[in-house]
Amino acid sequence: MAIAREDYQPNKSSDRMKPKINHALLTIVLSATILLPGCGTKQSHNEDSGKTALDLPTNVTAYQVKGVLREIRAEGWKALIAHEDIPGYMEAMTMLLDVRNTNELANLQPGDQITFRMLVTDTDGWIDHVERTGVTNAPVAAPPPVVKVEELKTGAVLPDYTLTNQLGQAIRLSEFKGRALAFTFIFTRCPFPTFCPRMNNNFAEVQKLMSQRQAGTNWHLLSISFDPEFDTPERMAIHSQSYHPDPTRWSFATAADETIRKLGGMFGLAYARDGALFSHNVRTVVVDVQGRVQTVFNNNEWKPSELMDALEAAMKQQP
Amino acid sequence: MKPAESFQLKHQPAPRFNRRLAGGISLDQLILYGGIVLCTLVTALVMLIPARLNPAGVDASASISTTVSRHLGDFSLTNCNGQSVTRSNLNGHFLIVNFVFTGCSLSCLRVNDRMAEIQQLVTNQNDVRLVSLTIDPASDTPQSLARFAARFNADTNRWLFLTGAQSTLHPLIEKTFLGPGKSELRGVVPGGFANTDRIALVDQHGEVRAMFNGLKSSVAREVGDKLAALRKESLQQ
Repeated sequence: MAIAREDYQPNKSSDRMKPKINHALLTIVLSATILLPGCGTKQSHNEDSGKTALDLPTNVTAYQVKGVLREIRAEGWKALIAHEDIPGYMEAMTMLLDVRNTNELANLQPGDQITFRMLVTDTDGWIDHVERTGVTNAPVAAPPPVVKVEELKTGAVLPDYTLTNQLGQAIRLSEFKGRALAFTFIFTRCPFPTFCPRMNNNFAEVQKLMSQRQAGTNWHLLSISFDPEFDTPERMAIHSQSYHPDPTRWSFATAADETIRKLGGMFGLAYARDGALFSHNVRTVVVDVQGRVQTVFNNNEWKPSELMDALEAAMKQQP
Repeated sequence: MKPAESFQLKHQPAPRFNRRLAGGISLDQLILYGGIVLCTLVTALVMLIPARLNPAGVDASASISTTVSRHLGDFSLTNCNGQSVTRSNLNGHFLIVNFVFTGCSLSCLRVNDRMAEIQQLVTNQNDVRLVSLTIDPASDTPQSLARFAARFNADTNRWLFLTGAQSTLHPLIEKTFLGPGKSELRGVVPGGFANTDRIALVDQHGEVRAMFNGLKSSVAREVGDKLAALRKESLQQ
């Protein structure tokens, strides 16, 4: 069922008729009124709309609608939605709709097929109960490559891999031998503030404060994207600008998916594509001047000072 | 946000309609209202019949048939308040178990939405506990699990988020619930576990009695039904 009109109309029509109606008609209409909300509730239960419209004031009319989310605007307070026909209300069209709770769109992305409730009064309109039902226009995600992941313990030598930096240059991890290296994993479209953006902010802070520490100059930071399909060198270069990386201190890079799964997997990094985005955990690794793994930060809770301490120690490591 | 005229058309009864009502019932009114009532009844029947035939609604059942009976053995883990939780703390309870990691930020969150629905459903059932086991104990501290739990309005006295040593958690999840993780999945899902969107129902004796697809919208209702059936069964014994 594409559109489920929820149970206001019966009440409204009974209100309208009450004053002039005779008893027989009243009985019939009332029984219809009682019956209709009954099946309406059942229907919405089956339909996964979760709640009936009983949670609304009587001046609000609710329509259950299907559509496709085109864009999220105004930081989640508005959604551009191409909706299907709403019988008795409006034909199919693309509209910019108000959202009163930004959590409604928190886990959605453009291209998602959605169901939602359109709520209207005489003067206002907004949507709620937004649920994702599928994805359209999304590129068919290639299954992740079959990569056997081996754990790497601290103290072990980091295997060498070749990546591509934000300038399009090939870089080898072994190039950083003789410097303390800290690397973490991100993707540029990452919208979750406590994940990649926090890693970038922390690295920016470390870059700034390390020079003040006078702890030595043989260190480098590396942010590795696990979204090589989207994160081209050009995109990484643009993305990195807002963090003001000093290219002699902090590089952004990516590599073939297989390479990154192997490299990250050694430290327990796991990332799964979900539409255009990823569900992923966070790993930040410090490698000493000898190329040995010195410290692994296993989540997003580390402070810049802790990473600086680890870098300092990694600079001092002797063979 | 919409053409105003269509709104008025819908909400203002036509004047003719009111005039005719004032004069009592005429034949064409009888036909009109008779028609409305008939349509209502037919609609009601059409809506009710499928609901009776297919009580789970449009979704197929979330229940996953399994002949495996697994027993939940001893463990000692830590909840999101930093307190130790052992198997014996949960003795005699029905357990609704799912699998989480705080790096989950997209569709995997839906399983926890379903768990939140189940939490609502069992609010007054004191013999039930919800248990979310992390598959990524290396990442998930009690503090990060506490923040995760708060996103789902978890009552953490009744919905436990458990972390601990990987050497405890992974074998527990493997043996009792999901089977062994695969090394080729380890870069995709922490621990390499498949089917982490499952919700398991463990009875008061520690036996896994049912597995559900935790992404299905019907799962809360089905878990509730299964709980009721298991209680009935234990009364009969």
